[in-house]
Amino acid sequence: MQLCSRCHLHVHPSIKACPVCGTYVDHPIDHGAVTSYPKPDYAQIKQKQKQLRYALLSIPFLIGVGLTFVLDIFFYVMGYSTGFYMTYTMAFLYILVFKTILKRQEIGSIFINYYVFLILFFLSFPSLLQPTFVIMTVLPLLSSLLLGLLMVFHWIQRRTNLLLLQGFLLSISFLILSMLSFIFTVNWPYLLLSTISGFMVIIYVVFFRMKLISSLSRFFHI
Amino acid sequence: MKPLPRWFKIDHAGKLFPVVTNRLRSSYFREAVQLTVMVNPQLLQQAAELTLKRYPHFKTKLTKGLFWNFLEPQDKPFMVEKEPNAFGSISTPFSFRKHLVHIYYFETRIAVEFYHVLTDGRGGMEFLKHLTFTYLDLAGFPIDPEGLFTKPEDQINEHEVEDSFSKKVKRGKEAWLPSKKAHHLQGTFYSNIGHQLTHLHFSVKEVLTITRQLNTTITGFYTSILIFLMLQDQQLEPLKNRKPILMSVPVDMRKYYPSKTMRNFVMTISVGGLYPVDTPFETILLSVTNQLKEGQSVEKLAPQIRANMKAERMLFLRFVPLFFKNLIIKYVYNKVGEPALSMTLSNLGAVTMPSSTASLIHHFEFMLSSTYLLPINLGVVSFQDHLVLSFSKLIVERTFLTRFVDFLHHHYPLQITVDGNQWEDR
Repeated sequence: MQLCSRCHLHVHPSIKACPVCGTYVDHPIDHGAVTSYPKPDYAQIKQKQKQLRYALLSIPFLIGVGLTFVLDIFFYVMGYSTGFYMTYTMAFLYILVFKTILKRQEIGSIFINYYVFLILFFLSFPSLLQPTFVIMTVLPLLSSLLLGLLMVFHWIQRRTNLLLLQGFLLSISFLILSMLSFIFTVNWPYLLLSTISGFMVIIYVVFFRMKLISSLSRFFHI
Repeated sequence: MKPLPRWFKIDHAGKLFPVVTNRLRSSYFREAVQLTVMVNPQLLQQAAELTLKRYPHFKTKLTKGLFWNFLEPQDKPFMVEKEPNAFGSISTPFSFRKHLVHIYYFETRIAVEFYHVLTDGRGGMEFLKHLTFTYLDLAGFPIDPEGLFTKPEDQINEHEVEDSFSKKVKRGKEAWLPSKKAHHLQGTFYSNIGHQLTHLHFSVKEVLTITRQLNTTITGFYTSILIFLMLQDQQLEPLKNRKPILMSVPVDMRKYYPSKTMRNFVMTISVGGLYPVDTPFETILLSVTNQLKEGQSVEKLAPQIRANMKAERMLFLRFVPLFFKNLIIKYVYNKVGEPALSMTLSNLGAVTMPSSTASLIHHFEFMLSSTYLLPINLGVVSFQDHLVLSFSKLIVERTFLTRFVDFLHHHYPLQITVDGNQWEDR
């Protein structure tokens, strides 16, 4: 082990410059010596920075969400029922790009979390104000299908407590909103949706009770 | 016996870290052991699985609740990895896929990187010791636990995962510490956001000879040198602009409360102050030694813990949604938490391993991650006659470290060996 001429430290034989002052030491590098660290991999760090740059791509989507929302409002005021589908699509794309790339969350969780949230939005708000065929018939039927798929997903992925909790809260929300929608509009697809939601609430309470209590206690712990 | 929970509340100290973690404050620390034999990754993988089974709260992921974050079991398989040169560049603790512990190997070295929400330096070292012992045992070396380790297949007990802050520190007198803005080291940050790690290896006997002559401790000795060097930085500053130099020294509370917890149970004390620029080293040494002696007592530390826990214990504040709590915690920490410190020096003390493993272990290392306001931090740990000081530096400038080494070289007859990760700005 050679001394650094500047710091008078004994420099590890696998290192060619003193780590403290950067002065080159004149000992021949012992390539056989055990090294304490691999060579710096700057590319790995650059890759992470690159991912951040990719995440910036989500900004156009965010702007798109704003623009489509304004457009949807415009069409709504003009009397064309848009169902806010443009906003929904852009918002969903934004969430996928931003959350998966930057936040690195699981795509399944994000999908169900936000998809159902947006469905709720369609279900509760425009349906009561501007009844159209799509909103009055297609949407509740699609929502019923979605709830059914969510239940199947839970049977398969029993360990995902977060999704379980979301499913439970979603079923309750669907139950309340679809019941209200049915009372105000007397639209039969909403009755179907409320029946399925109610059925799901019962299933959650009966079959997933322990997991549900555990999930609730985690999520709401103080 | 009470069954162990399937999920874990985050302890009092750990609640801070998910909130304040960002790219320049990764809140990770790394502990490493340099063996005298090459590490076999397959055996290390087995040892890691056994150790994580023994300590299940390390195999968790961070999840957001409505009022607090919490830890729940991570189902993704755990894999040991080849040690990267970069340290402290991971800042996404909420990722569903991620483990909060990383186990690395490189040639003769085993390193474990912990997210601070899980444990403190002492708890992390217990984990590393257990992992090392399990690995050496699996590798077929004739070693004996000598009562220091339990079997890997043993169940963790509730005392090892308890939040000792709330269990051990009873209600009583509270004391808030006055918070002033402290002096900070300035420099150019690495554009690639990595830490330059520099390990200075000393002989424990040599250092102890000096500290006994100076009537201080190892922590007191190095803390005083760091304060003295920072004081020299202030010489050119106008008097009115000068700020106190305050070193943050973590104190293991297990020394004062009988606790076996593997979670955070540490309290920091601020050592230093506003000294005249021409203060001699001996005066600083005396002041620091006295402050360390006075500060490291349960009578001083317990009221500070109670004060810190006051808000957490208030029923009304517990029901404030996490989003608002995060805003408050972040604001307070950025206003009066980190700005009140100049540097962190964390001394883990002497690591004890069974004597049968002595010939297989060369030394231990302890590295802290640095932050935007604290760009250089120091971790200290010793094993047998091997004392290692690990500087983790986020800034390009080498001046502070060269001055530290020059000071030691000019004043004390110490044999110092140096190595490091040789991180540079690219």
